[in-house]
Amino acid sequence: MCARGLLRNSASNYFKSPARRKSTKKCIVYTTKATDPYQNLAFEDWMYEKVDFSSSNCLFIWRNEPSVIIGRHQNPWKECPVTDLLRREIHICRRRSGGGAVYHDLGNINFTFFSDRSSYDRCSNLRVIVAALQQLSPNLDVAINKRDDIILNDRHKISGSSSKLGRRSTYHHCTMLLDANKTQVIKTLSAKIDITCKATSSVRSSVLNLVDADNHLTFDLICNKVVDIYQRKHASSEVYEISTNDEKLLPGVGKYREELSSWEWIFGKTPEFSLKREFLNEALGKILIQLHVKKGFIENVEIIPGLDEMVAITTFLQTRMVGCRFSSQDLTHLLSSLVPPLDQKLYRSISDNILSFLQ
Amino acid sequence: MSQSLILKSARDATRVFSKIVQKTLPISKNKLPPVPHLPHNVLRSCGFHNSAPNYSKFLFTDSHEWIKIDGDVGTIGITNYAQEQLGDIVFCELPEVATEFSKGDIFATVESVKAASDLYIPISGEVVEVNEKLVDTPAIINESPTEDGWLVMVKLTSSADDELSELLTQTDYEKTLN
Repeated sequence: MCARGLLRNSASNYFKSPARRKSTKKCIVYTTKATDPYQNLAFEDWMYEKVDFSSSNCLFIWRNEPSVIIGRHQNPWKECPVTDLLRREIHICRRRSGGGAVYHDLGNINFTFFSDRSSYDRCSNLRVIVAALQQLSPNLDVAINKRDDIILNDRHKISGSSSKLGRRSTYHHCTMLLDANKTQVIKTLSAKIDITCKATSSVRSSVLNLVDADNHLTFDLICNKVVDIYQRKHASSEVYEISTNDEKLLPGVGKYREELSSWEWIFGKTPEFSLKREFLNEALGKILIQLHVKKGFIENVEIIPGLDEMVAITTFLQTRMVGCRFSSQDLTHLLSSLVPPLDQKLYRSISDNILSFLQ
Repeated sequence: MSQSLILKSARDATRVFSKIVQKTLPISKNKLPPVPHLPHNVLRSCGFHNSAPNYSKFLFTDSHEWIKIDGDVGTIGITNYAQEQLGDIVFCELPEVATEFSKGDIFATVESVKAASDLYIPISGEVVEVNEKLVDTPAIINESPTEDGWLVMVKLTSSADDELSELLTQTDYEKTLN
């Protein structure tokens, strides 16, 4: 873990230490042209499960097409406007590591540091990146904070970290905002839904692109410098460009991708949560709708107050909605196909309000 | 990707993978890095206080899980050393009751300081109870790792005796921490 407080980017901290503390291990660096987030995340999982890092550390450098990547124990509906993202074909992915939600596009660089458990050291990895930035742009004011974020000019986050730990293998991956679409960062990570849950929350940060501080910085420059410093930390090194979906090289990686891109993983793994919505009905006054969702499926529907008119609708909806996926597509299909033998106007206003949970 | 990176063919990469893909997993490699300021009192470092139950009933894995046997049910948790290493636990993902596990399977995942850590079951068996309190208050694991912070209870199988004999006693577990 990093030392408490900010570690300033003095030469003694960052320039010297990566080179000085040379590992006796070799390192292998992988780069890829693949930009499918599920495929790249599947490669990470494959490496974590199949590879023995006792004699070599690995660094994987990758980029994704526009996606929101949430942490292992997060609620996608709380972190991002799910329906809107699906409509705009922005991927929603759940990674296996902890932490909060991030936005990726080709202007963001990802670094994954694989190591065995005894060499796991997030701060040392981040120092490689900070040293690379410092060498490329000596006036850049970058530092690592106690959350293992890299921050620019004391307050803007340019890199966030998270990790996955097993008894033998670990990986630490981090983002690096070089020239990402900042409007999208803000838009894709703001949800307006009132959710009660125990899921891991994201910590909001003000973000900045590296090019805003130094417009000479490019993807190639940063990657080469990071690889260079990382190599110098190790006894020997090899660099490969690979296809992260290469079944011959990575037997079974397709299965990992399939699981990571499934509804059951992305949405079904969401920790239990409840949502509520209050609206005004002309005849009946305030109406409160509450849904409880478990493993991505609706487990309970409550409509308050329990007036006579309401009881019938509640029972009608409960028997049909319980067990339905909490997804815009499934709920819209279900609610629009129902023909309730009840007050149509009241039913529509309730079902419209249920659907608006997913807008 | 940049021109200056040395790119090798996929065949070379296959060769490297075949070299590093693990065939056997040496258990001695599983140690966590030592805590810089490990308490001098060895008992405390494993989460046992003076009022703790009979230590001899606890067995350990080198990946820092403990199991306590009571009849044909084993209660499982993580050690004090493990919770100290992990830091504040903010989420605990537990299995469903009735899930069957084989020894060494990942049975739970805990999240702390933005890291998701897999936990490995010390013995084969079917989950008969999970500690539901951890869903709302995962920090109980930090506060009381070997008592209130237990994770699951499993019903032992017929191979339990053999599996238990492979686990570490408290003395042997403490040796792995040094």
